[in-house]
Amino acid sequence: MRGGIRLFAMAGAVLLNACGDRAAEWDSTPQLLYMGRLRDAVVLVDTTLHRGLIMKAGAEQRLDFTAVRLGKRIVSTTTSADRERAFVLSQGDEVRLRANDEGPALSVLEAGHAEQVKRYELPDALTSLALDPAGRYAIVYAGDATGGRFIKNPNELIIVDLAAAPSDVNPTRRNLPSNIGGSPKRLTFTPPLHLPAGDRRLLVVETDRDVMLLDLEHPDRPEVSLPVKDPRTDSRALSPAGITVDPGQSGSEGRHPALAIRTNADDNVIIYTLGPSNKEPPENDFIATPNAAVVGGVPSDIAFVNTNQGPRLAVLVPSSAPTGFLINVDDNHTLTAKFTAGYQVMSLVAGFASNGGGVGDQIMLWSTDGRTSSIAFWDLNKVPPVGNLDALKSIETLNLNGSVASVMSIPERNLKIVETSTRALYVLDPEQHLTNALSTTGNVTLRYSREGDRAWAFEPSQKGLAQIALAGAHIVSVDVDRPVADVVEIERSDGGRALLALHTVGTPSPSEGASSLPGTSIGVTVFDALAPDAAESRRYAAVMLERLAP
Amino acid sequence: MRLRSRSSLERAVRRPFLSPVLFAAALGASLSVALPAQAEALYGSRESFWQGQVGMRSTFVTDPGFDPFATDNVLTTFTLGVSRTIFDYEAFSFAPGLFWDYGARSATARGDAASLSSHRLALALEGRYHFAPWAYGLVRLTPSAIQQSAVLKDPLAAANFVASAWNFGFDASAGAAFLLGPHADSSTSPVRWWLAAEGGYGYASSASLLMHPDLPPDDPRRTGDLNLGRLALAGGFFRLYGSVTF
Repeated sequence: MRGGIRLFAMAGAVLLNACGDRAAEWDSTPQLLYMGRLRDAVVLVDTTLHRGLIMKAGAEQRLDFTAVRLGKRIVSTTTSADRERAFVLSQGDEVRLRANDEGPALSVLEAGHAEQVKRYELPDALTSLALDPAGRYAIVYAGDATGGRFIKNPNELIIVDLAAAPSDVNPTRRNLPSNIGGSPKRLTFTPPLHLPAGDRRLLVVETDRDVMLLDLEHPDRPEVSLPVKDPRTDSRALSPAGITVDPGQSGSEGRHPALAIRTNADDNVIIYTLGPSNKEPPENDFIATPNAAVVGGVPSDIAFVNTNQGPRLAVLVPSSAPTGFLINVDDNHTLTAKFTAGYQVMSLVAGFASNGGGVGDQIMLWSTDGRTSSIAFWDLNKVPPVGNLDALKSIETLNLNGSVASVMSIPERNLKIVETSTRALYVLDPEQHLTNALSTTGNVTLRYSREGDRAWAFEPSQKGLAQIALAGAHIVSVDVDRPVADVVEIERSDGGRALLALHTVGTPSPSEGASSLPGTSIGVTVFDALAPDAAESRRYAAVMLERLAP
Repeated sequence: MRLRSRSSLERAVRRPFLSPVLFAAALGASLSVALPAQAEALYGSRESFWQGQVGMRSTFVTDPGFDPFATDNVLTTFTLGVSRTIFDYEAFSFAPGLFWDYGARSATARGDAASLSSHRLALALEGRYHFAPWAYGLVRLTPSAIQQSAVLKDPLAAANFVASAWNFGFDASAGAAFLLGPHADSSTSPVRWWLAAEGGYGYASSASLLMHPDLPPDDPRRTGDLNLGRLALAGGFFRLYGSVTF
């Protein structure tokens, strides 16, 4: 009898011991979801569970889900402009007590095989990321972002060669010299420059004191510092506010590459020409020669352009007398044009070609200062050799029904989307000088197809969704029965296109930016992007539970 | 994806239920006509009897598929059973029976309400050794049919996600029963009350938790499934029950 009771007691103890808790992820709540927008997939980055949920679309609006492991303490997710890669920056375990505790990392998901995550271990937990538009490099640096370790070196760059596999020598780290406390603020990858010893790309680092050039292909060579003032004679606290690059022309008689810098408070534009240096490696094979062009006010934008008179540096000065300048870098000869409005920003309609062939560019001018209700097209094919520019002949003004709130470029179709403060949308074809105006009743957000031939308009947290064919601005309303938090168009596995309209439970927070989704639950309505029809759409819900089960 | 209304779902659930019910009825009929070998029973009506049981069973389900529906691994079910001694020889007896278990769990899975219910219809093959007139030990082999139904509610779904399936199960357990009373050899009432406990392991085949919104068949909306993996309600279990014999 006692033996039997003892047996039952032991069995009960064994069974009670098996009464464990469930896996912790089921108790977690999705707090903040970053979103990677690959060409053929959407990656929902679940910061709570350190994982990415990859959604791919197939025929009949079906979705396939795959989960991948990402790093701990994710601080940002960025997608490259061509949507070929998504980058997830993580800081790892806060306190690393064991050898296998996780350190900072950059996880890279590539279109076509996003499930195969490349993980680059980082030597330091930095929080800003600069991406090479050509897709070769990613650079992690401290920047202005908060977070990371309590002490960090703001002049440290961690350079990741994305063309190479992660290894002991990839990524590499590089410390820039601090010019009396300066630290990198913006990084720009140049196009290939026609340097004296061959075409190469450089990294332009704008600090809060000066500008530095790094030869990415020769990491052993020293950086080149480009001061923005003479510290012996100028006590002002000048910092770079923007740069522009002229790649130069190839050949011994060709034009040397040049870099122009505008500052936050100076009425000079500093132009550095990169000529031959006569030094042997490991010294740099180019030397930067400065020049200053006085423009009579603090420039708001600069760009190298082509005119019918040859390449020039265009400068906008929107102060009391709005003026545009065209500066010949070779001799500092300057032409001026008086504008009727204080345009602050310019963009080349077709981009800058270093071999312009004597044909002038078209420049679009606008301002988002809230005071300018027009945009203008500046025709640089009508530039006289000397004297002042005739603004009446070379500038065409387009009056809008409100001040410009934003301008989006669609480089694939060479279109500009202008949004005004009165909630009007203008689809501009600058080459054809065609304009299509759309009116909206709410705060519309636009997302674009990768090909740039259509846009998707929606009101965050509302049920409105529409397709805009950008050629002609034809609108197709799309019925959706849940408020839309964001939309992404991706390629389908059968060659079609799918539009994923994401729904969340919770109020979207505008401060989180376009790459994040708040909320505890995510749903997705999948449409055929080429023929969006609610009757053919498919709804997925409780998406954040997908692939949690083993 | 197939869409089914609640009524069609219930029909689908009931259809496979039919054969276990018929089987149970046939077994019950056979028990009622079976004659125990009372002449060789060591303890008479305290060894050879009809028995009705009411109890609770706790199964410790360690399958990760159980996680969305419960914050721990315990699935507690209510048990009803009936058995009949059809063979006895000295202190040994054999009593087959029928059992029905029902239990449910619910929890939130990342904020979504999730619930799971389970029916188990089992044929118990129970062998006993009667230590004394007031106690016997038992071993039991129990093939069973298990019906599990899962429901998950998400505010963005077109309807509740559901998944249901029938599975095969097989329990092996051992235990003991103790007579509460009356203890007298000859009592005015043939009814006796017992308290019993058993423990063992229950195997169960796994079923898919591919959940689909429970929409009517004429609903035009197209939906995607939610894949929560698979679930087998297997694990060690412990059962405590009271019984009445006559």
